[in-house]
Amino acid sequence: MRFIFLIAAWLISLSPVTGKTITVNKTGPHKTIAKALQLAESGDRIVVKKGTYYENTLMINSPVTILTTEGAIIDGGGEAKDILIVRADDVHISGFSLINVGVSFLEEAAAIRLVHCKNAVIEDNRIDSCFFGIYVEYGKYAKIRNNTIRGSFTDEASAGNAIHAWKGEKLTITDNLTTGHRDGIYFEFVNNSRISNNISQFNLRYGLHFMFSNDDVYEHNLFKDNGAGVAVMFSRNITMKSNRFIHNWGGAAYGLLLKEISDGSIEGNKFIQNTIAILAEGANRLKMSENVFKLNGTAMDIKGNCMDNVIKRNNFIANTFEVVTNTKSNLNHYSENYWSNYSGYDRNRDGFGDMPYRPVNLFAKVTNEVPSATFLLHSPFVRLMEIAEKIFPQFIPESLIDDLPKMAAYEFN
Amino acid sequence: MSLISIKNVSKKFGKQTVLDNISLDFKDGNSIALIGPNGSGKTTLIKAILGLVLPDSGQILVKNQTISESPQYREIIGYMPQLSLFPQNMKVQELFALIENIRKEKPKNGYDVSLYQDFEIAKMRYKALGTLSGGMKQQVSAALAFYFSPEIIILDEPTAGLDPLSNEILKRKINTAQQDERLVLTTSHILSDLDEICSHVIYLMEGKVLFNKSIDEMRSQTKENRLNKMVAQLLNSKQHEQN
Amino acid sequence: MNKISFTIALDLLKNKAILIFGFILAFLGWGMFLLESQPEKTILALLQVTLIILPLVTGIFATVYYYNSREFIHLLLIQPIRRSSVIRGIFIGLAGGFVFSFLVGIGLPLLLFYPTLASLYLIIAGLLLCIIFTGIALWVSTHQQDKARSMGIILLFWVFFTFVYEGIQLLIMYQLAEYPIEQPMLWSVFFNPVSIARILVVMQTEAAALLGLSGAIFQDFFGSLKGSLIAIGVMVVWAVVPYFLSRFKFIKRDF
Repeated sequence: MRFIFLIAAWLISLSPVTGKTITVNKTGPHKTIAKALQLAESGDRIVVKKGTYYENTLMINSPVTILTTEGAIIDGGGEAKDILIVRADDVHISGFSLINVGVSFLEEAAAIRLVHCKNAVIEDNRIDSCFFGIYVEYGKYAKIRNNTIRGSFTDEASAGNAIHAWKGEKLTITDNLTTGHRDGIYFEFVNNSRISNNISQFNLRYGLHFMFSNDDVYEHNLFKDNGAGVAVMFSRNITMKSNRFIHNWGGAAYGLLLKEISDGSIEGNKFIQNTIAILAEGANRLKMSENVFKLNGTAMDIKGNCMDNVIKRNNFIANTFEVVTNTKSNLNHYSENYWSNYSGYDRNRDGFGDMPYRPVNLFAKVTNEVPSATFLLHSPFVRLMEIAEKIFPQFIPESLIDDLPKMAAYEFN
Repeated sequence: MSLISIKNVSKKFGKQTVLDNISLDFKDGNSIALIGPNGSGKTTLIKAILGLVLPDSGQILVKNQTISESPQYREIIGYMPQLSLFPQNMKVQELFALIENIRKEKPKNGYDVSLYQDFEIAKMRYKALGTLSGGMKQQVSAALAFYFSPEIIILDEPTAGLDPLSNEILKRKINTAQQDERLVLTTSHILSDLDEICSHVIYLMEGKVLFNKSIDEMRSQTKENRLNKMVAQLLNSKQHEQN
Repeated sequence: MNKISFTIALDLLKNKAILIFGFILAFLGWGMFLLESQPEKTILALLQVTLIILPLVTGIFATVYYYNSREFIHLLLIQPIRRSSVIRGIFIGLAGGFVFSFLVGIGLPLLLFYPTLASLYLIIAGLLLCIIFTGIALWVSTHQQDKARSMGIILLFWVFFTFVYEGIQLLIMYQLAEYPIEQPMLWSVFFNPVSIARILVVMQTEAAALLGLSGAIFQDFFGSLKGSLIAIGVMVVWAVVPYFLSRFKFIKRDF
C-alpha cells in the first residue's frame, strides 16, 4: 500500500519539471486565485477547486500551470478588465469557465490575455459573455485547443472577437468552437500559424479573419452561418484546405472573401449555400482545385483586378450564377472544371466536353451593373437575352472560358 | 290565350334598324307563318323571343311574363334553328341526354318521340354530330325541338335541308301540334311549303309588320287558294295604297 | 349548372389538342425528373415551362375552344338556363381542364420527386396562371366577333406578359439606376401575373440569396409568408377580373 502511494507520488512529480501544487479552495487555506499566484514559483501547479471566484486582472508572471478539474468558474464581474493575463512563457491554463468581461471602447478586455510570451497552452476552457475571448499579443508557439467561446452579441460595432491574435508566430489553434462574437478567429500580423478543426458559426462578421498575415494554414474547419465565412485580406501564401463554408447567407454574405492576397492555395473545400461562395478582389496567383461549389447564389465573383489564378478541377453544381465578373477581359485560367450548367457533348469520350464552356452569364453581368434588376432572375425575358448572347457574344468576356469542361462531376471525398 | 305578346320592340344592329317598333300577339292553336324578304328581321324577331337577341326597347311577354326576368319561360319553347348548330364532338345520344339534364323537369305530357321515331334518330345515336349530313342534322334538330312537348314551337327555315319525305313528316307534325292547341311559329322563303300548315301569315319588311292576317281572311280578300298568289296580290294592293 | 361545366370539361378533355397539351406537359414533367439527377435544375426548367408554355397554350386553346363551341353555346342559350350559368360553366370547364392537365403533367411529378415548398409554390402559381389566361382568353373572345383577331390579341397579351413587360422594367432600371426605384419596381410586378408567379417560386429556391444581396425590398416582401399570401391574392384577382369582364359582356351581347 505504501509502496503504491510512493509510485503515484513519483509519477505525479515526473510530469512537470518539479515544483509544488497550490490548491485554491473556497474553504481555504488559499481562497483566491490571486493569492495562489502570489505564492507560485516557476514550475508550480495551481489547482482550483469547485466554486465561483469573483476575480479579475490575475497576473501570471512565472511559468505555472493553472487548472481545474472541477469546472471552477472565474467571474470577471462585468468589468472591462482582463481576467487572466499571461506574461510568462510556458504557462498552461485549462478547464476553467471564464465569464463576464465587460465591453469597453477604451480597453479590449479579454478572458485570457497572452502578452509577449512563448509556449502558452490554453485548453478545455469555456468562455462565456466576455468582450474578447482569448487575446494574443506578441505570442509565439501558443497552443489554443478545445476551448468553447460563446458571445451573445447582436451589434457588430460593440462586439469583440472570440480568438484575437495581434502579432504572433507559430500559433496553433485547433478544435475550438467560437460563436456569437464579431469574428470567430482574428489574425493580424500573425505568421506561420495553423488553424484546424475549429467550428465557427453565428459570428456577426467573419468566421475567420486574416489581416496582414502570411504563410498560415487553415484546414478542416467549419464556417457556418456567419455574417461571412472567412475573410483573407492583405496577406500572402495562405493555405486553405478542406474547410467547409456552409450557409453564409444574406445581404452581403459570402463564404470566402479574398482581398489583396497572393500565392495561396484553396483546395478541397466545400462551399454550400452561400450567397457568394468566393468573392475575390485583387487576388493573384492562387491555386484553386478540388473544391465543391454547390447551391450557392454565385459560386465565384472574381473582379477584374484578379490575375494569374488557376481554377482547375473543381465541381460547380447547381449554382445560380457560376462565375461573375465586372470586366470584359480575363487574366485567370479555368480548366477541367465540372459545370452543372454545361450542356455540351463528348463525342471522343475523353470525359471532357467538345465545346468550351463560358461560365459567365449575361444576367450576372446585368445585376452587377444594376443590382436591383436581380428580381428578374429566371424571367423568360432574361432567358431570351441569354440565348441571344450565346449566339452573338457581345458583352461577356470572350476569353473567360473553360476549354476542357468536365462532363461528370468529380468524386472528391 | 295569348302565349307570346310583343310590345313595341325595336332593335338596331349598328346603324341599321332591324326591328322597328314591332307589336304582335300570338295565341295557342295558331300556326303562324313569318315571311318576308331577306333582312326583313324574321330571324332577329325569333332570336328576340328566344332571348338570344336583346331588344333595345319594348317588351316581350311569354304567358304574361316578361322574358328578361327569368330564363324559365324557355322550358315551354322548342326551337329548330335555320342552320343546325351542334358541338362537333358530341354524339347524338349525348346531345339528348345533355338537354334532358339541363331541363331537369320532365315535360307534363311526357317526351314527344314521334319525330325521333319517324326520322329514325335511334340509328344515328352513336354518331358524332359533326359527322352527320346537313339533312340528318336538320332531322335531329327537328326531333329535338318537339322532344320536350313544348307549348310553343319555333321553326326557322325548317324545310331548307330536308328531303321531301322528311319534309312531309315535319309538316304533318306541325299540323298535329296546331290541333293540340299549341303555338307554331315558322319562317320560310318557300311559301308553297307553308301552304298546308299555317293558320296566320305575318309579313315583315324592313323591320316592320306589313300585314298580319289569318288564312281565311286572306282567302276572302284575294279570292285565291294558293298562299304565294294571295301574298303577291296583297303586296300589290299595299303598294297601290302607298302610291 | 354543375352539369354544364362538367360536360364542357369532359368535352374539352376529349379534344385531341388538350390531350396533346397534357401529354407534352407530362412528358416534360415526368421525363425531366426521371432523367435529371439534380432536382434543383429540374424545378427551374419546369418553372420556365410554366411561365412560357402554359400561358401561351391555355390562352390560344381557350380562344379556339370558345369560337369552336359557338354552336354549343347557342344550344345552351336556348335552354331554360341563365346566361351567367353558361359563361360560368365555360370558364370553370376550360380552366378546370387546363388545371387538371397541369396537375397531372407537372404537379404530380413535382410532389413525388421534389416535395419542397418551392414545388408547392410552383404548383399554386401554375394553376393560377391556367385560370388567369383562360379568363383573359374569354374576355377577349366575348368582345370580338373574329376568331383570328382574338388569337392575335391573345398572342399580344402573352408576348407582353412573358417578355416585353420585363424588358421594359429592365430598361427603366438601366435608365434610372441612380434613383431609388426598388419600391416602384415591386409595385410594378403586381401588374404582371407571370412576374408574380416567377418571383413566388424563385423566392423559395436557393436563388433567393441573390435577391437578398441586391433586392432587399423584394426579399422582405416575398420572403415573408404575409407577402407571399398577398402575392397569391393579387394573382387570384388576376384570375377573377378578366372572367367577370367576360361575364358582363356575355350577358349583354346578342347571339
